[in-house]
Amino acid sequence: MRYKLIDILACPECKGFPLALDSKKEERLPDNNEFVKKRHNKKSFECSVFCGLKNKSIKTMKSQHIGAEICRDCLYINIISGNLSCTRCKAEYSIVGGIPRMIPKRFFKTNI
Amino acid sequence: MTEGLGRNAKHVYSAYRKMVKSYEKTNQLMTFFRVTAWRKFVTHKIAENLVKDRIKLPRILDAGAGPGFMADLLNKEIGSDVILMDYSIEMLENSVIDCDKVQGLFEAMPFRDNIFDAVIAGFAFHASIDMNKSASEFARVSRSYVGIVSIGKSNNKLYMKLGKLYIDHMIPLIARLSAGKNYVEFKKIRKIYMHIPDNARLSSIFRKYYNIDIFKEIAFGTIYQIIARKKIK
Repeated sequence: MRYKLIDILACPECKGFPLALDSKKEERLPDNNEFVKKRHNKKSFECSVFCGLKNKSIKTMKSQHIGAEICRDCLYINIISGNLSCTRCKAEYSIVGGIPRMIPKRFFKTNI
Repeated sequence: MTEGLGRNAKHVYSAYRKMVKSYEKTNQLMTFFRVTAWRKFVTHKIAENLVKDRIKLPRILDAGAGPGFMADLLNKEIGSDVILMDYSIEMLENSVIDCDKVQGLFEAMPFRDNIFDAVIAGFAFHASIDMNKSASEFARVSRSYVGIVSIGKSNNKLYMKLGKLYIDHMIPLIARLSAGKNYVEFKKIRKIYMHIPDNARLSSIFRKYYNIDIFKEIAFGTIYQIIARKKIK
Protein backbone atom coordinates (compact mmCIF):
# COMPACT_ATOMS: atom_id res chain seq x y z
CA MET A 1 0.00 0.00 0.00
CA ARG A 2 1.05 3.58 -0.56
CA TYR A 3 1.17 6.17 2.22
CA LYS A 4 -1.57 8.12 0.48
CA LEU A 5 -4.05 5.43 1.52
CA ILE A 6 -3.80 6.77 5.09
CA ASP A 7 -5.73 9.82 3.87
CA ILE A 8 -8.61 7.54 2.86
CA LEU A 9 -8.67 4.65 5.32
CA ALA A 10 -10.77 4.73 8.48
CA CYS A 11 -11.42 2.14 11.15
CA PRO A 12 -14.09 -0.25 9.81
CA GLU A 13 -15.54 -0.61 13.32
CA CYS A 14 -15.82 2.92 14.70
CA LYS A 15 -14.86 4.92 11.55
CA GLY A 16 -12.03 6.55 13.50
CA PHE A 17 -9.67 8.62 11.34
CA PRO A 18 -6.75 8.86 10.79
CA LEU A 19 -5.34 5.44 11.59
CA ALA A 20 -1.89 5.26 13.19
CA LEU A 21 0.60 3.57 10.88
CA ASP A 22 3.56 1.50 12.01
CA SER A 23 5.42 0.67 8.82
CA LYS A 24 7.79 -2.30 9.21
CA LYS A 25 8.98 -3.00 5.69
CA GLU A 26 8.97 -0.71 2.67
CA GLU A 27 10.22 -0.84 -0.90
CA ARG A 28 11.21 2.01 -3.19
CA LEU A 29 9.55 1.78 -6.58
CA PRO A 30 11.69 2.40 -9.70
CA ASP A 31 11.48 5.84 -11.33
CA ASN A 32 9.74 4.42 -14.38
CA ASN A 33 6.94 2.78 -12.36
CA GLU A 34 3.64 3.11 -14.29
CA PHE A 35 1.54 3.78 -11.16
CA VAL A 36 3.74 6.72 -10.21
CA LYS A 37 4.16 8.09 -13.73
CA LYS A 38 0.39 8.38 -14.17
CA ARG A 39 -0.04 10.25 -10.90
CA HIS A 40 2.99 12.47 -10.90
CA ASN A 41 2.27 16.18 -10.79
CA LYS A 42 -1.46 15.62 -10.70
CA LYS A 43 -3.00 17.76 -8.03
CA SER A 44 -6.03 15.54 -7.57
CA PHE A 45 -3.80 12.73 -6.31
CA GLU A 46 -2.55 14.80 -3.40
CA CYS A 47 -3.95 13.95 0.01
CA SER A 48 -6.74 16.15 1.27
CA VAL A 49 -6.81 15.81 5.07
CA PHE A 50 -3.89 13.79 6.42
CA CYS A 51 -0.37 12.98 5.21
CA GLY A 52 0.61 9.45 6.18
CA LEU A 53 4.26 9.97 5.28
CA LYS A 54 4.75 13.00 7.53
CA ASN A 55 2.11 11.85 10.03
CA LYS A 56 0.64 15.35 10.04
CA SER A 57 -2.60 16.97 8.98
CA ILE A 58 -2.46 18.75 5.61
CA LYS A 59 -3.53 21.95 7.38
CA THR A 60 -0.49 21.77 9.68
CA MET A 61 1.80 20.98 6.76
CA LYS A 62 0.55 23.97 4.82
CA SER A 63 1.09 26.25 7.80
CA GLN A 64 4.64 24.88 8.09
CA HIS A 65 5.18 25.38 4.34
CA ILE A 66 5.91 21.69 3.72
CA GLY A 67 5.53 21.40 -0.02
CA ALA A 68 4.62 19.22 -2.95
CA GLU A 69 7.95 17.38 -3.06
CA ILE A 70 6.63 15.25 -0.14
CA CYS A 71 3.68 14.17 -2.30
CA ARG A 72 5.98 13.11 -5.11
CA ASP A 73 8.28 11.16 -2.76
CA CYS A 74 5.35 9.41 -1.14
CA LEU A 75 4.18 7.80 -4.39
CA TYR A 76 7.49 5.98 -4.79
CA ILE A 77 7.19 4.16 -1.48
CA ASN A 78 5.30 0.92 -1.17
CA ILE A 79 4.59 -0.34 2.35
CA ILE A 80 4.99 -4.12 2.34
CA SER A 81 4.24 -4.91 5.98
CA GLY A 82 3.25 -3.14 9.13
CA ASN A 83 0.31 -2.34 11.37
CA LEU A 84 -2.56 0.10 11.41
CA SER A 85 -4.29 0.97 14.63
CA CYS A 86 -7.33 3.01 15.49
CA THR A 87 -6.60 5.71 18.02
CA ARG A 88 -10.29 5.84 18.98
CA CYS A 89 -11.31 2.18 19.56
CA LYS A 90 -7.78 0.68 19.69
CA ALA A 91 -8.58 -1.93 17.02
CA GLU A 92 -5.52 -3.18 15.14
CA TYR A 93 -5.15 -4.24 11.54
CA SER A 94 -2.12 -5.77 9.85
CA ILE A 95 -0.56 -4.98 6.50
CA VAL A 96 0.71 -8.16 4.85
CA GLY A 97 2.14 -8.36 1.34
CA GLY A 98 1.27 -4.70 0.80
CA ILE A 99 -2.44 -5.24 1.47
CA PRO A 100 -4.05 -3.86 4.64
CA ARG A 101 -6.32 -6.47 6.24
CA MET A 102 -9.25 -4.36 7.39
CA ILE A 103 -11.84 -6.86 8.55
CA PRO A 104 -13.21 -6.39 12.09
CA LYS A 105 -12.60 -9.39 14.32
CA ARG A 106 -16.30 -9.84 15.15
CA PHE A 107 -16.97 -10.91 11.54
CA PHE A 108 -14.54 -13.81 11.80
CA LYS A 109 -16.39 -15.07 14.87
CA THR A 110 -19.86 -15.05 13.32
CA ASN A 111 -19.95 -14.70 9.56
CA ILE A 112 -16.77 -15.63 7.74
CA MET B 1 -34.49 -11.00 9.20
CA THR B 2 -31.17 -10.24 7.52
CA GLU B 3 -31.36 -9.90 3.76
CA GLY B 4 -28.14 -11.38 2.46
CA LEU B 5 -25.91 -14.36 3.07
CA GLY B 6 -25.69 -13.96 6.85
CA ARG B 7 -23.88 -16.92 8.41
CA ASN B 8 -23.77 -18.67 5.04
CA ALA B 9 -21.14 -16.17 3.94
CA LYS B 10 -18.38 -18.37 5.37
CA HIS B 11 -19.17 -21.14 2.82
CA VAL B 12 -19.43 -18.75 -0.12
CA TYR B 13 -16.36 -16.71 0.82
CA SER B 14 -14.19 -19.79 1.20
CA ALA B 15 -15.39 -20.86 -2.28
CA TYR B 16 -14.39 -17.50 -3.81
CA ARG B 17 -10.89 -17.92 -2.39
CA LYS B 18 -10.50 -21.27 -4.12
CA MET B 19 -11.85 -20.28 -7.52
CA VAL B 20 -9.33 -17.51 -8.35
CA LYS B 21 -7.71 -19.25 -11.31
CA SER B 22 -10.89 -20.36 -13.02
CA TYR B 23 -13.03 -17.41 -11.92
CA GLU B 24 -13.11 -15.32 -15.09
CA LYS B 25 -13.13 -18.22 -17.53
CA THR B 26 -16.13 -19.74 -15.76
CA ASN B 27 -17.81 -16.32 -15.51
CA GLN B 28 -17.48 -15.92 -19.26
CA LEU B 29 -18.92 -19.37 -19.97
CA MET B 30 -21.75 -19.05 -17.44
CA THR B 31 -22.89 -15.79 -19.01
CA PHE B 32 -22.39 -16.94 -22.62
CA PHE B 33 -19.56 -14.39 -22.93
CA ARG B 34 -21.86 -11.48 -21.97
CA VAL B 35 -20.16 -10.67 -18.65
CA THR B 36 -17.75 -8.05 -20.06
CA ALA B 37 -20.56 -6.28 -21.94
CA TRP B 38 -22.68 -6.20 -18.78
CA ARG B 39 -19.80 -4.78 -16.76
CA LYS B 40 -19.00 -2.29 -19.52
CA PHE B 41 -22.57 -0.95 -19.59
CA VAL B 42 -22.23 0.01 -15.93
CA THR B 43 -18.72 1.47 -16.13
CA HIS B 44 -19.65 3.42 -19.26
CA LYS B 45 -22.70 5.00 -17.58
CA ILE B 46 -20.64 5.88 -14.50
CA ALA B 47 -17.90 7.38 -16.72
CA GLU B 48 -20.51 9.43 -18.62
CA ASN B 49 -21.88 10.85 -15.36
CA LEU B 50 -18.42 11.69 -14.01
CA VAL B 51 -17.48 13.44 -17.26
CA LYS B 52 -20.80 15.33 -17.21
CA ASP B 53 -20.01 16.50 -13.66
CA ARG B 54 -16.51 17.53 -14.87
CA ILE B 55 -14.78 15.47 -12.21
CA LYS B 56 -11.15 15.17 -13.27
CA LEU B 57 -9.32 12.00 -12.24
CA PRO B 58 -12.15 10.73 -10.05
CA ARG B 59 -11.47 8.52 -7.06
CA ILE B 60 -13.23 5.19 -7.53
CA LEU B 61 -13.82 2.27 -5.20
CA ASP B 62 -14.25 -1.11 -6.85
CA ALA B 63 -16.06 -2.91 -4.04
CA GLY B 64 -15.89 -6.69 -4.14
CA ALA B 65 -13.38 -6.10 -6.90
CA GLY B 66 -12.09 -9.62 -7.36
CA PRO B 67 -9.17 -9.21 -9.75
CA GLY B 68 -10.42 -5.71 -10.65
CA PHE B 69 -12.12 -6.23 -14.03
CA MET B 70 -14.69 -3.46 -13.46
CA ALA B 71 -12.02 -0.99 -12.32
CA ASP B 72 -9.91 -1.86 -15.33
CA LEU B 73 -12.79 -1.13 -17.74
CA LEU B 74 -13.54 2.19 -16.07
CA ASN B 75 -9.87 3.14 -15.97
CA LYS B 76 -9.54 2.52 -19.70
CA GLU B 77 -12.48 4.81 -20.38
CA ILE B 78 -11.53 7.66 -18.03
CA GLY B 79 -8.29 7.91 -16.05
CA SER B 80 -9.12 7.43 -12.41
CA ASP B 81 -7.60 6.81 -9.01
CA VAL B 82 -8.89 3.34 -8.26
CA ILE B 83 -8.87 1.37 -5.03
CA LEU B 84 -9.77 -2.31 -5.03
CA MET B 85 -11.52 -3.78 -2.02
CA ASP B 86 -12.35 -7.44 -1.65
CA TYR B 87 -12.68 -10.04 1.07
CA SER B 88 -10.44 -12.44 -0.83
CA ILE B 89 -6.73 -11.72 -0.58
CA GLU B 90 -6.18 -14.34 -3.31
CA MET B 91 -8.32 -12.32 -5.74
CA LEU B 92 -6.55 -9.06 -4.87
CA GLU B 93 -3.13 -10.64 -5.30
CA ASN B 94 -4.14 -11.68 -8.82
CA SER B 95 -5.42 -8.24 -9.79
CA VAL B 96 -5.24 -7.08 -13.41
CA ILE B 97 -4.66 -3.43 -12.45
CA ASP B 98 -1.82 -1.69 -10.60
CA CYS B 99 -3.40 0.25 -7.77
CA ASP B 100 -3.93 0.17 -4.01
CA LYS B 101 -5.78 -2.82 -2.63
CA VAL B 102 -7.57 -3.30 0.68
CA GLN B 103 -9.11 -6.38 2.24
CA GLY B 104 -12.52 -5.38 3.55
CA LEU B 105 -16.21 -6.14 3.79
CA PHE B 106 -19.20 -4.25 2.37
CA GLU B 107 -20.84 -4.13 5.81
CA ALA B 108 -17.86 -2.45 7.51
CA MET B 109 -16.00 -0.49 4.87
CA PRO B 110 -12.60 0.77 6.03
CA PHE B 111 -12.92 4.24 4.48
CA ARG B 112 -13.90 7.66 5.70
CA ASP B 113 -17.18 9.29 4.67
CA ASN B 114 -17.81 10.70 1.18
CA ILE B 115 -14.32 9.88 -0.04
CA PHE B 116 -15.11 8.28 -3.42
CA ASP B 117 -16.63 9.97 -6.44
CA ALA B 118 -18.18 6.65 -7.37
CA VAL B 119 -18.44 3.13 -6.02
CA ILE B 120 -18.69 0.30 -8.53
CA ALA B 121 -19.35 -3.38 -7.88
CA GLY B 122 -19.29 -6.10 -10.50
CA PHE B 123 -20.85 -9.44 -9.62
CA ALA B 124 -20.19 -8.90 -5.94
CA PHE B 125 -23.16 -7.25 -4.22
CA HIS B 126 -25.08 -10.54 -4.21
CA ALA B 127 -22.44 -11.88 -1.79
CA SER B 128 -23.32 -9.33 0.91
CA ILE B 129 -23.70 -10.65 4.42
CA ASP B 130 -26.33 -7.98 5.10
CA MET B 131 -27.61 -6.08 2.05
CA ASN B 132 -29.20 -3.23 4.00
CA LYS B 133 -26.00 -2.53 5.89
CA SER B 134 -23.96 -2.87 2.68
CA ALA B 135 -26.14 -0.38 0.80
CA SER B 136 -25.81 2.11 3.66
CA GLU B 137 -22.01 1.70 3.65
CA PHE B 138 -21.92 2.21 -0.13
CA ALA B 139 -23.80 5.45 0.42
CA ARG B 140 -21.58 6.53 3.31
CA VAL B 141 -18.30 6.26 1.43
CA SER B 142 -19.53 7.59 -1.93
CA ARG B 143 -19.96 11.26 -2.77
CA SER B 144 -22.22 10.74 -5.74
CA TYR B 145 -22.56 7.62 -7.87
CA VAL B 146 -22.95 3.90 -7.50
CA GLY B 147 -22.83 1.42 -10.37
CA ILE B 148 -23.67 -2.23 -9.78
CA VAL B 149 -24.08 -5.34 -11.89
CA SER B 150 -24.98 -8.40 -9.89
CA ILE B 151 -26.93 -11.64 -9.64
CA GLY B 152 -30.61 -10.94 -9.07
CA LYS B 153 -33.90 -12.76 -8.71
CA SER B 154 -36.86 -11.89 -10.92
CA ASN B 155 -40.25 -11.09 -9.42
CA ASN B 156 -41.82 -13.09 -12.23
CA LYS B 157 -42.35 -16.59 -10.79
CA LEU B 158 -41.63 -18.35 -14.08
CA TYR B 159 -38.38 -16.45 -14.57
CA MET B 160 -37.45 -17.11 -10.95
CA LYS B 161 -37.87 -20.87 -11.51
CA LEU B 162 -35.86 -20.67 -14.74
CA GLY B 163 -33.08 -18.90 -12.84
CA LYS B 164 -33.11 -21.57 -10.16
CA LEU B 165 -32.98 -24.35 -12.76
CA TYR B 166 -30.04 -22.66 -14.47
CA ILE B 167 -28.15 -22.24 -11.21
CA ASP B 168 -28.92 -25.75 -9.96
CA HIS B 169 -28.16 -27.66 -13.15
CA MET B 170 -26.34 -25.60 -15.77
CA ILE B 171 -23.76 -23.83 -13.62
CA PRO B 172 -22.31 -27.03 -12.10
CA LEU B 173 -22.05 -28.46 -15.62
CA ILE B 174 -20.32 -25.39 -17.06
CA ALA B 175 -18.05 -25.11 -14.01
CA ARG B 176 -17.07 -28.76 -14.36
CA LEU B 177 -15.83 -27.99 -17.87
CA SER B 178 -13.91 -24.84 -16.99
CA ALA B 179 -12.82 -25.32 -13.39
CA GLY B 180 -12.20 -29.07 -13.24
CA LYS B 181 -12.12 -30.37 -9.66
CA ASN B 182 -12.91 -26.92 -8.31
CA TYR B 183 -16.38 -27.02 -9.89
CA VAL B 184 -17.88 -27.82 -6.47
CA GLU B 185 -17.01 -24.28 -5.36
CA PHE B 186 -19.22 -22.82 -8.08
CA LYS B 187 -22.13 -24.93 -6.83
CA LYS B 188 -22.12 -22.66 -3.78
CA ILE B 189 -23.54 -19.89 -5.99
CA ARG B 190 -26.83 -21.65 -5.23
CA LYS B 191 -26.58 -20.36 -1.66
CA ILE B 192 -26.33 -16.82 -3.03
CA TYR B 193 -29.44 -17.25 -5.18
CA MET B 194 -31.36 -18.70 -2.24
CA HIS B 195 -30.53 -15.79 0.03
CA ILE B 196 -30.88 -12.76 -2.21
CA PRO B 197 -34.16 -10.86 -2.08
CA ASP B 198 -36.12 -10.38 -5.31
CA ASN B 199 -35.23 -7.53 -7.64
CA ALA B 200 -38.11 -5.29 -6.51
CA ARG B 201 -36.88 -5.54 -2.92
CA LEU B 202 -33.26 -4.96 -3.99
CA SER B 203 -34.30 -1.82 -5.79
CA SER B 204 -36.16 -0.59 -2.71
CA ILE B 205 -33.09 -1.20 -0.52
CA PHE B 206 -31.11 1.14 -2.80
CA ARG B 207 -33.91 3.71 -3.03
CA LYS B 208 -33.37 4.46 0.69
CA TYR B 209 -30.01 6.03 -0.11
CA TYR B 210 -29.97 6.67 -3.85
CA ASN B 211 -32.03 8.15 -6.64
CA ILE B 212 -31.98 5.34 -9.16
CA ASP B 213 -31.39 6.42 -12.76
CA ILE B 214 -31.32 2.92 -14.23
CA PHE B 215 -32.48 -0.38 -12.79
CA LYS B 216 -32.25 -2.87 -15.62
CA GLU B 217 -33.02 -6.58 -15.43
CA ILE B 218 -31.37 -8.91 -17.92
CA ALA B 219 -31.19 -12.66 -18.56
CA PHE B 220 -34.69 -13.31 -17.15
CA GLY B 221 -33.94 -11.12 -14.14
CA THR B 222 -31.03 -13.27 -12.98
CA ILE B 223 -28.79 -10.25 -13.54
CA TYR B 224 -29.55 -6.60 -12.71
CA GLN B 225 -27.70 -3.36 -13.34
CA ILE B 226 -28.07 -0.25 -11.20
CA ILE B 227 -26.85 3.25 -11.94
CA ALA B 228 -27.78 5.59 -9.11
CA ARG B 229 -26.93 8.94 -7.62
CA LYS B 230 -26.67 9.46 -3.86
CA LYS B 231 -29.54 11.33 -2.25
CA ILE B 232 -28.59 14.72 -0.87
CA LYS B 233 -29.64 15.01 2.76
